[in-house]
Parts: sequence; C-alpha cells; structure tokens
Amino acid sequence: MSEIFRIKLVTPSNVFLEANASLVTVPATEGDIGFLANHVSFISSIRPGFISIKLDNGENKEVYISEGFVQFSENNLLVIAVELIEKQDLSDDFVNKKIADLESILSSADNNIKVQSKIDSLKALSL
Amino acid sequence: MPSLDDLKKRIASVKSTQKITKAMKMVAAAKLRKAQEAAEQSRPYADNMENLMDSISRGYIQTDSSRNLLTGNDEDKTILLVLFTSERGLCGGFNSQVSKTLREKIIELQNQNKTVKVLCVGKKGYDIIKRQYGDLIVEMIDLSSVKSIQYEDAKNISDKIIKMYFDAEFDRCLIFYNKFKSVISQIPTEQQVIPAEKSQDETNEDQSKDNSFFEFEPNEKEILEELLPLNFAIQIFKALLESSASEQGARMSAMDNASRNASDMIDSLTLFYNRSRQAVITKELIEIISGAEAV
Repeated sequence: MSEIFRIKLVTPSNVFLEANASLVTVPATEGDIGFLANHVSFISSIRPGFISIKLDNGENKEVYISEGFVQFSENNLLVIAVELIEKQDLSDDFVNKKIADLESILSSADNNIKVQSKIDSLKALSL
Repeated sequence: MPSLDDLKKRIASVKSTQKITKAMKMVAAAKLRKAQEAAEQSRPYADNMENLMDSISRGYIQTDSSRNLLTGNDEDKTILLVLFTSERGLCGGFNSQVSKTLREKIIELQNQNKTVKVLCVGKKGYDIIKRQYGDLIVEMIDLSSVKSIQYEDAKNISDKIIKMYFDAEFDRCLIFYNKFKSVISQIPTEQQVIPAEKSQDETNEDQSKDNSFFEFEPNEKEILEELLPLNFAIQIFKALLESSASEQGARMSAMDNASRNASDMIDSLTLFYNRSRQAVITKELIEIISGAEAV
C-alpha cells in the first residue's frame, strides 16, 4: 500500500473534490507532473488537459481542467482551477467551442504564443 | 374630514401595498439564502488563491519597473474607482450608502490633484453618481440580464479593467462594495485591487519558512503573470457576490420595515374609520331623537 496524501480541487463556484489520493498526475505548463506522497514543495501553472487521480480506495478519476495552478506542500495537494469537469461529462462540442474561442482571440492577443500553446493542448485531448 | 368611503379606499390601498412588500420580503429572503450560499462556496477558492499569492509574491522581488498588477507602476496620477451597486431599487440605504463612500473618496482624491475615473457596475449607482460626477464615469456595466452571478461575469469585468490598466488609462484601482455582515448590517467597503495589496501579517514566521523551499515551474515571474489576472478576477467575483448578498439582505430588512409600517398605518386608519362611522351613527341617532321630541 503506497502512502497517501490530501488533495483538494477548488473552483470559484465550489470545492470540486476533497479526498485522499496516492498518485496525482497534473498537466503542468512545462510537462506532466506526477505527485506522490512526500513530494517536494512545488508550485506550477497548468495547461488545459486532464488531471488523473488515483484515490486511496483504488478508484481512478480523470478531471478536465481549463487553466489553473497546482501547489504541493507538506503532503497537501491543492489545485486552483477556473473550471473543472469530469472526463465523462466532457463533450467534443465543448472542446471545439473552447478552441474556437481561443482562436478568435489568437489574432488580437499580444501573448499569442501562450494562446497557441493552449490551443495545441486542447487539440491534443483525446476523448 | 375624509368621508367613510375615502377612508375605506385608503385602507384597501395600504393593505395591497403591504401584500406587495410582504411578498418582496419573502422573495428577498429566498434570494438571500442563495446569494449567501454562493458567497460561501466561492470562499475556499478565494482563500486558497490568496495563500498561493502570498507564497509566491513574498519571496518574489520585482526586478523591472514595467506596468504590472502586483506592484503597479511608479506613477499614481489616475485612479479608477469601481462601484458595485444593485440593478433594482427598493433596498433601503444599500445604494446610497456605498455611493456616499465613493463620493467622499472622489472629493478626497480631487483635493490631492489626482485624476479620478469611475466605472459603475449596476444601474442604481450610475444613476446616483451621474448627476454630480457624470463626466468622470468611463463606463457602466449593466448586469440586469444576469440572474445569478457566475464567475464568467466577474471575468468579463476584470478582463475589461485589466485591459484598461495595460492601456495606461489608470494607475491605481479601488473597488467599492457593500460587505455582507448580517441581514440588517451591510458595510460599505473600499478595497485596493490594483496594485494587489500585500497581506499585512508578514511577521508570520511559520509561513515564510515553508515558503522558502517552494519550487516553481515555470519561474515565479511567469506564474505571477498568469496568477495575477485570475487573482484580480476572484476579487471582483467576491465583491459581486458580497454585493448581491448585501442587496438581498438590505431589501429584506427594508421590506420588513415597510410591511410593519403598513400594518401600523392600517391599524390607525381602521381606528379612525371606526370612530368616524360611530360618529355618523351617533349623529343620525341624535337627529332622530331630537326630531321625535319636537313632534
């Protein structure tokens, strides 16, 4: 039995999930990061993608995140997200709409490398 | 003296007004519960966001003096004041209280020779402010089509303000809203959002200790660049939610008072009506008796 740690996923409208987990993989901006218990204190931003969570009861969960931050300190993992959706509730239409939205601001944004990388991560999602 | 018929009509009209105020009170109570729930549910997000901001910004030292949301720029000439009010009236002193706080701030800032700009969220505050300071208002954001406030609404407002900030339209931003304390008490609150206020308790040693070995990816600067707009949006969201909870609270107590006043009025009108009726009966009786005696 691997060691467990507390995880908490919050959005502006609710606390999405609060549980014990043994492994969490987060799509950070510079590549996926897996967290096990006793990970070093860490803060990173997140790109659009799936957070996969292995709960302490063995159940696996996959949650879509649009953007946000992850913080790990003293065996507490905190994900601050603008939007979280369970993978099974996610539809192609939703992702396509997100991509369209981002593409419409792509030309006007000054920061289009970031927008482009968000589009790329969205397109890479396999449903 | 009004005739009995007139009195009867007045009593009926006060009664129907009371029915309306009672109904509005009920509606406000139901909406208040919802608004409070929403405010409570957003709290963990806001608190955690604040902690995260603290952990990053405390160890972070600004190296360039370019325009940013954390430390601001060196200038402090133009100040944007954002006023959160309701879309509807009949909520007691809710709108006038917070508008008064804003007006005092405008006068204070103008005395310091600063340029003041005002952005109104909600129609009622706009109506109050435009009479005196119409030329200072840069925009009015109408939320009357929004039934319950979503994060998206706050995001739209914050995006707009951030864009104005980077277009160098102002140097400092303050928000004014009613903080919800209880149903009968809402506190007009002023809060600085740009540049972000650093938390006061920097003496807290435990926190600064574990902050020192955070690893960042990408670096602190880039994380801050993404985090600050989100943090700003949540401040706006919080203000919107607090304001809407306060609005319902203020409306509820205003309508409660109105219903009570109406029932007082009905009581005194009914008493007056009964007395007048009795007076008419007595008068008629006297007339009959004195007529009979004369025969």
